[in-house]
Amino acid sequence: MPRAPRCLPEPIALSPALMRSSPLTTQRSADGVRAALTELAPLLDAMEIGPKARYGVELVCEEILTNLAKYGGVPAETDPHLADIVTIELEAQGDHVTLTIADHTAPFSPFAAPQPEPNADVAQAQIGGLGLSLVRQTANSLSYNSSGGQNRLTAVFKAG
Amino acid sequence: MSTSSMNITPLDDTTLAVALEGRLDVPGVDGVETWFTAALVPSGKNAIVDMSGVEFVASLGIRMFVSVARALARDGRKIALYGCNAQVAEIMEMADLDKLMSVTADADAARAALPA
Repeated sequence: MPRAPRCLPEPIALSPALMRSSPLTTQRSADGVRAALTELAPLLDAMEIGPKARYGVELVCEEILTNLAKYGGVPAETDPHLADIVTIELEAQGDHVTLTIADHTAPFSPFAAPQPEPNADVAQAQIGGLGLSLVRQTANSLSYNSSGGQNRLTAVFKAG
Repeated sequence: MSTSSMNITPLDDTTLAVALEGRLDVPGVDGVETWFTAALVPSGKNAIVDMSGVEFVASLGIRMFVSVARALARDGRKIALYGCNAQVAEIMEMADLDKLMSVTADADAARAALPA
């Protein structure tokens, strides 16, 4: 029996300098993080961006999706099915790559999380709490807005 | 499915040599953390970790190293990492990991950073 084709969001070349992926949706869960990272890989291959930008895209995806899965609260007025879906879009244009992650959990700005205390003594070192700090440091620019029940995080990376 | 693997060999009476490979992302850390911790913490030895086969480290991977380093420090032992690629080294620096443990270019420097 022929196998049904798998529908992966192939990047679309809109011009020689612009490639945009179709929105990739994943579940807000640990399995969803794994699935998103797996599906991102061929998109990043096709976009042929440099290793530093690729690392940044993968890191921000991993950290934000993991945070949403672990800590994302669901407002009472939000459809719980909608709150379980996270949408990811990638766009490569010229010398930069833009990653957008949209979700419907309770608003939480990545800028609100405190910067971890500098560690001087390994015996007293804080374990964990680094994810959003790495997100803020990795992206060349980062913006967040929450409107109409949807949160949108946009991270821009230099493509080279 | 795990995206990482680990190989461990005794280097001498006081030191273990660990080689990690793959990605220390969510599935990768899930795959090695239990083994990594169980091999190093009760061993009574220091450890050097070859990171040259590790392509990617996220915060969960850094958390794994800090957690093991804390456990080793309770009885004066240390862990030292070496051979990180450029991107991994940059993340280690952003996380201040290099202030908690030696992150060096090669195995000799990592070994030299451990207690005698």
